[in-house]
Amino acid sequence: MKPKLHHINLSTDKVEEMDAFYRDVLGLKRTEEDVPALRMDEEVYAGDVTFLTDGDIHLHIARKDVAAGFRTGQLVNPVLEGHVAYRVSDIEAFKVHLDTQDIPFSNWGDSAVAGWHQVYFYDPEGNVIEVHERRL
Amino acid sequence: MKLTLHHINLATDHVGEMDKFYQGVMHQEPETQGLPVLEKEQGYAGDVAFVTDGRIQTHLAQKDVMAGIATGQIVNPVARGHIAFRTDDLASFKAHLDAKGVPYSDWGNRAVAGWHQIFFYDPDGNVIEVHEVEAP
Repeated sequence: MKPKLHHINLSTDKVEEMDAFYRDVLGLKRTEEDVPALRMDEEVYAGDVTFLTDGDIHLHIARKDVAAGFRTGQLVNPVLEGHVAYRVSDIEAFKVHLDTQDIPFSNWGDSAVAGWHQVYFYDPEGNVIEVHERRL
Repeated sequence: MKLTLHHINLATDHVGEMDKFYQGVMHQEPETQGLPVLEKEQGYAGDVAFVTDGRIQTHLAQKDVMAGIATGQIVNPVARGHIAFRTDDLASFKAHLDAKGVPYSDWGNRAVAGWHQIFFYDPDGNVIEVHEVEAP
């Protein structure tokens, strides 16, 4: 159940400019492997996202969406200030672990991404952390 | 329905240091009049220092990244601070927000005795407070 870093999400109003910067300046490449199948549900999150990789860890450049929390009723909005995402093989066990540690989390389930079960919570500094299990 | 700027809130892990800076460097005076009476049992128990330029207050508040998830409120005003306006008619202002399609977190008077506060996001995700001082 050890979480492995999967991606960093940077939420921005300048998706194209950020995408170009990370490709041109940092040399990251576009990828289509192991990227989330965004449902693009207007009632959840329908922002444009580009998917880059350094060959190992992904970088998601996502349209900032200030209203996603209010729209969904979720207390953690992962596309407000971005987030750091880890993958686990057993999300249910990880949720039990969070409960044991008294860390409240926002359970997005697979509402945003088909086949990925996602939870979001805060670290002590207020950074948003995602943990997900890929089921497809 | 009048709206006037009332205070700026800076959320920090260094309340004492910030208080010293704003008094010592910025020549703000400790505020003694019209301070919010914090309700520390209902979701936010942080220390807050209050200073003023004689008209507009600055609230230096202990950062609490968990205040939103702990209270069930979508908007957490003490994660990254906020800008606060005072109105003489909050009910009308809420109807105005409803008409504009701007969702808000209604904290009621759970954080401050005698102040009815709502919080919402501007388009960039800055947190805005509007409050009305309730009749005693």
